[in-house]
Amino acid sequence: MSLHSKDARMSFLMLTPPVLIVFMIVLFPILMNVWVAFKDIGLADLQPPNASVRVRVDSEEEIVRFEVTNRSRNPIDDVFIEAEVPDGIVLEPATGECDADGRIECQVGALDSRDETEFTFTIVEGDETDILRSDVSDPNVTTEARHPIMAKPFTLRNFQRVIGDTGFALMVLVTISYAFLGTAATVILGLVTALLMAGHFRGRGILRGLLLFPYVAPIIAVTLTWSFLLDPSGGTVNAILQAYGVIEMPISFFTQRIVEIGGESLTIPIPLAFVSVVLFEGWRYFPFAFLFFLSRISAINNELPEAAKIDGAGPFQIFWYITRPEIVGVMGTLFLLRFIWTFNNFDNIFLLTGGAAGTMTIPVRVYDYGFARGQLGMAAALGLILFVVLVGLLLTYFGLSRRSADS
Amino acid sequence: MSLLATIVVAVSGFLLSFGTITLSSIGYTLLSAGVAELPLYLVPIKTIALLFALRLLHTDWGRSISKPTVLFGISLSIALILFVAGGTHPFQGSNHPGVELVVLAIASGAGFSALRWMFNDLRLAGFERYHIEILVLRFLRIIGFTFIISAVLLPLGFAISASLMTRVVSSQDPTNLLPLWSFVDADFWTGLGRLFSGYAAVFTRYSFVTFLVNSLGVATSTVLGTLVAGTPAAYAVARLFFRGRDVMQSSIIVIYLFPAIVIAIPLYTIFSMLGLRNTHLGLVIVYMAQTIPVAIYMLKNYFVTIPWSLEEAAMIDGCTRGGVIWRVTLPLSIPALISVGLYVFMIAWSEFMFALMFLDSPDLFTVSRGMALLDDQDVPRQFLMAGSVIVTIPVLSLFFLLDRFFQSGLTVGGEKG
Repeated sequence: MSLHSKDARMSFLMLTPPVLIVFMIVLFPILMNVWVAFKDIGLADLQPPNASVRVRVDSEEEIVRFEVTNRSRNPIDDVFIEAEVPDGIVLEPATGECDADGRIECQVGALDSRDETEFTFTIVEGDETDILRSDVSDPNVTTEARHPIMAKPFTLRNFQRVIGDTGFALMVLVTISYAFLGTAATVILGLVTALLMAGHFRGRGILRGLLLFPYVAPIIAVTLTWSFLLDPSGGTVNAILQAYGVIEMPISFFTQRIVEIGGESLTIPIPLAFVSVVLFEGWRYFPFAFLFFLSRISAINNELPEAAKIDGAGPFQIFWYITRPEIVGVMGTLFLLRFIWTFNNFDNIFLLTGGAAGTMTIPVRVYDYGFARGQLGMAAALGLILFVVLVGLLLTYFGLSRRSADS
Repeated sequence: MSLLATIVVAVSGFLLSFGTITLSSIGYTLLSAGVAELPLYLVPIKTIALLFALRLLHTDWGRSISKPTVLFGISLSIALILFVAGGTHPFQGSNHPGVELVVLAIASGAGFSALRWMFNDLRLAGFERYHIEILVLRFLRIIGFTFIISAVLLPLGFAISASLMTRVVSSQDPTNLLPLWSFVDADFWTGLGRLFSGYAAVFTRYSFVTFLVNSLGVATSTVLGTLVAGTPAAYAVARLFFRGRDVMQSSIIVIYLFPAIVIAIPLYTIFSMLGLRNTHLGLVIVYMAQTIPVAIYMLKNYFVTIPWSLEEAAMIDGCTRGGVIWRVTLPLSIPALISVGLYVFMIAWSEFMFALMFLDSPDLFTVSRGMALLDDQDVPRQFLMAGSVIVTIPVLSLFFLLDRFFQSGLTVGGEKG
């Protein structure tokens, strides 16, 4: 056996488990999402449809009554009920579809949604408690029902409802601008920090560890901290601003949609809650950008700036001609990565504002559709729109950067 | 250029001193209880302190810059400070003049050492563009550091401080961040007990221990699972030849494109059917799927830096491929494995969205999910902040402990979030 085919066999063994996991957990759901997006499916459809049977024993009339109900939202086929009849009990079917020779077997057939039907057996032998204690009172029910995910017809209704929903256009705009501005804030803050932290000084290691706090702390811990810090009733920031006379009334940073600043003649409306979540985004992720830039800046050969200094270059010239080109190289990658993550981010806005006050983004609404309203179909459709918008933006980006590289 | 030099010295001196005083006054207001009238005796004290500091400055650059320039710069600084600070004095309350003096001393010291650092080792005799650039840059650095550090320290300090204040204390004066209340009318040990009562409460009154144990279990299992599944795959991508290797390499990062929320909805359906929803196993599988691509990418980048000749030598000596991986490659990759493990642990420990959607029973909740549960109920701010501090400590201390491993890990992997 050649080395290469041995390699191939071995790598197949090594790669199969992770590829399988990623396929099952990431790619398969994505494909399934496309499927569900075209079907009218709700959370309630997830229960596998089945008939439920209630068994009552009427000792006066000496009959056992089977009440079969389809409680699901979907029709079911070939309902079949069976149960062991123990020794000492003899039952005689009173209706046609059943057989009670040693074991009860009932062909119920099809049942529409919310339909119910009933069978009775005459008790020939045995008393009530024996019957209730036996397997008869808990019969086995099987159906041939297809799962609604397979059975329901394809439809475009989800897309119509999602796009026709109030505030759809605003939501797309907010999502894109949140991703763009949040990324910009992250990158700028990260760059400034990286430039500050470049070089050696005392306490640098501790400071670097400290600066990671916004990024490595669990998201729920930092969102709670900021909500309490900026709380309009009894929050520290509002209290300080009021104590120093900067503001008269407390500001509710995460719940006020618009605040107007300026004098009598000119007022500028500021989307306050939106600005707050964008700034939070910058605060939360700047350490990531900072480390990204710092590793790049540290990689610059130290002799270069030294030589430039000897040749009489000032610090600004050194930055402009030596540091800047290095940074620009990684800027694109960083911006792209952070843009994608911010665009797809759910946690931050969900925890800070819940999507209220003009901060509703697509991921938060996907959750809203799927879990608050139980409309899995609509959630899947909006998820698909999210993905398509993202891919569209990325293709535009790559197209533009290729064109600017060509010219 | 002496006029320009004077202006630079004066303006930066003024801004720094004034900024220092403003900052220290805000700091003081945070520390002191209540906002009251300013005692007048502090004005001369501050002025003297400032003059003393400028005198210190003077000795630093006095030799290389002409006396009139220095005097002019200093007087301009003082004038500006008095002009701006004269009307509304920054220090507003003084229930504890002693505390105020200490704060003033610390803040002034910090400000003036910053000033000294700004002018340090600058030969100002031939004051040129170069020096001005250095001065401006140093000034910007001081401002930048102050801004960045306070942006990080303010929430961190607030979280710690709020976890030590009862509802009554924090509502009396929201600007007060110093938890001195617990030591009033109490001996030291009683005071200490009262101080940490919030932490005791989250552990005893709410099932926080369960949350922590759950998170620890889920995070460790994810780390182990990801490393066990990801390491051989990374080795294969780095070292072995097979068809589709390039496709494999590029598709690893493409996985990042898929929004987690889009995956979550169908996964909810699938896991419901398989009975994996509301289990830790289901959560671990999801986290593994999210971290494996990055783990492969990071480890592969590390494996290719190990000299091939080392592995080749072992193979010539009769080692099998598996033996080479186990005896040569893995021992050499321990830093990379730790860094990947750290990254995976951080993700699994803090993850919020999947835990929110997939877990129903409170006894299975991870810390993030558990905190969201507490936030829903009417739990006091003190307890929520104590919880926040507790869940942050493990990750932050891991990053401090394993400092030398983390930097490459974080930047290459990043967070999917």
